[in-house]
Amino acid sequence: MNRNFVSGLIMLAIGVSLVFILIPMGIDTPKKVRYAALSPNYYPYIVAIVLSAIGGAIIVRSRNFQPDDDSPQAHPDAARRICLFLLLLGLYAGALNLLGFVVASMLALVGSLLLAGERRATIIIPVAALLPVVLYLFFYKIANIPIPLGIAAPLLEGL
Amino acid sequence: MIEILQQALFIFATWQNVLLLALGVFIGTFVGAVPGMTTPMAVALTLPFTFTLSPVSGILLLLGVYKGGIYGGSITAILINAPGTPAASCTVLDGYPLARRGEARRALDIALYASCIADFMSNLALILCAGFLASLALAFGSPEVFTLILFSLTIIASVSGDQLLKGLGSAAFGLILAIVGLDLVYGTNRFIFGEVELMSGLNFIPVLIGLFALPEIIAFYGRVEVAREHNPLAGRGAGLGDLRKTLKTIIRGSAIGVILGAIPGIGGAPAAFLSYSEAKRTSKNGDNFGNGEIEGVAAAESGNNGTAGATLIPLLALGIPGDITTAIILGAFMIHGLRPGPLLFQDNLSLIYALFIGIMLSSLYLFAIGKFSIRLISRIADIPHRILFPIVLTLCVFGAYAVNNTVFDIGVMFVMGLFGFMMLKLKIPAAPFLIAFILGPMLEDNFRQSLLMSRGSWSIFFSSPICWFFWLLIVVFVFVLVRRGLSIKLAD
Repeated sequence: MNRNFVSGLIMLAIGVSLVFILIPMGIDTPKKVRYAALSPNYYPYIVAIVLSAIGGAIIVRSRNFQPDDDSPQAHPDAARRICLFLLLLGLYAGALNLLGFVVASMLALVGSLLLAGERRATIIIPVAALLPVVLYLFFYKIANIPIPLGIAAPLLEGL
Repeated sequence: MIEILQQALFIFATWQNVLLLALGVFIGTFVGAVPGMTTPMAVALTLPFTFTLSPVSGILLLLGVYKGGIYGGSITAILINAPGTPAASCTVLDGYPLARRGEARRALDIALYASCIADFMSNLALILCAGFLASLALAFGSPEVFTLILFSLTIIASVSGDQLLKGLGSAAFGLILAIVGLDLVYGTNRFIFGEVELMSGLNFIPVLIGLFALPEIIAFYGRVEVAREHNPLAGRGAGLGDLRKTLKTIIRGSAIGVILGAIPGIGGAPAAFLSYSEAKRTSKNGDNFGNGEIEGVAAAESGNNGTAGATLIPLLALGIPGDITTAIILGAFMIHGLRPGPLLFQDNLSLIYALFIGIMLSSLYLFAIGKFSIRLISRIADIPHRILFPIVLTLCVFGAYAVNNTVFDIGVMFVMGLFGFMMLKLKIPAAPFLIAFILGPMLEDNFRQSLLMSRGSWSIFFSSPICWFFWLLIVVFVFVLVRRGLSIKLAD
């Protein structure tokens, strides 16, 4: 795959969509602006146009692209493992409010350790059980940061 | 004078002051090392404990936390690629590659030496040149800061390596994301799309963690874990040779930090990047910067820590807090019935000198506490990645939440992680994004404030010798860059 071409295409696409869609839709400008350069969308337009130009230049120059083997240590099951990890991240984010930080983190730790290839229960159980509790004690009890406790609230508040 | 010094020593020399300062440095180092726990947060959390203390004890405790926090941010930047504070974000560029090679202890040692030397020089500047630096700082208005930041952005060309266009594109992404939030001049929405959480803009910490730590973790799941190659420097600390090699860089970085630190509103991150940029431009190993160059760590940390004492110059001399942390410290002064400014030097000179003695001692504490902790924490880098990365992920989630107490920031971190992973796969350098994201708001704010002041006239950017000085530096840098590019092309 010509990664320079893809990079340029992404930059061009984002730059163009900023100029024609995102900036007009996403930036509110007052009806009357005394000087054009002070308008809230003046600087964003400059950056977006520059981004589009850079994207275009990368596409033009991508003809000289020389592919190189950048992943000599790639896992044979790399795509599936990455997809599973991203799924785990999504579930983790969803579970934080639902189950609370401590329980969600315990489950995420077990999942991510197993997915990473760690099989020793003597490592997985202590790490998954202790780390979220230690972090909870530091953030909640010492730094007074209201970490959502979710279903474990009755148990943790007693600590 | 001697009488005042004697009085100052009498005020300072109590066990309570000596211990509280050490405790402050320890707390700051520890908290700064936790991603998401920023130095202002640590100082703010400590503030209530100072209410019952004497003014000197309370302020020294806060100053200890402040100084420890600035150094502590570098620890996680080096060990797990997640800067503890925005100012430590430049340290990841070379610190983490060194840790990956097994040289975490060497990187941490140099970061400590650079931090202590820069902190000491900054303290000296505070004590000896406060008046001069305060007047220099007052000469920096919006147009001067704009040209300074513009010059700092030229580092993007340096950190992009042979991917200049991609680096510039990456920087443009950073500038766009830095725009999100309420408009500074008109108060209108910019890329908020009805999301209240975006009104104050994207927070540095979740973006930085997402951009640096998460892509590394995601990429790990696509790799086979291999044993680290033998490296004779693995597990060893920095020697005298390393210190000698980096001393010039450290002194230059400290000077940059002192000057930028004295200007209200600049902070440690631009100082670190400017110091890094200058070190890369002048070093014999400039091409190795970004791949694990010890000079890069020294440059970033000296620039960052060089601001530590200097930010107190406008606070003590003029009563102007330069950043959030010094604003909290200003609050502490006022709680204790003191009003920083010229009158403080007139009415409470012995108290100021007592603080200076404590500030000088804090550099020694920083060295002792840092040296003691490095021996233990450098072992973190030896933990197998299959165990370390899941732990780092959990730490990042708690850290991202702690910044604003919102799960939204964790979402931002995950999205930035995916974006960073895409950049990693497409070999788009992440460092320019980081630099632009941090410096972008300052660039735009000062650009627009200048135009407001000049009623839309662009001549304001050429209105003072300081502006001209930075324009000249920019022209020289672009000329050198073009000439180097042409010579490489001709050689090919």
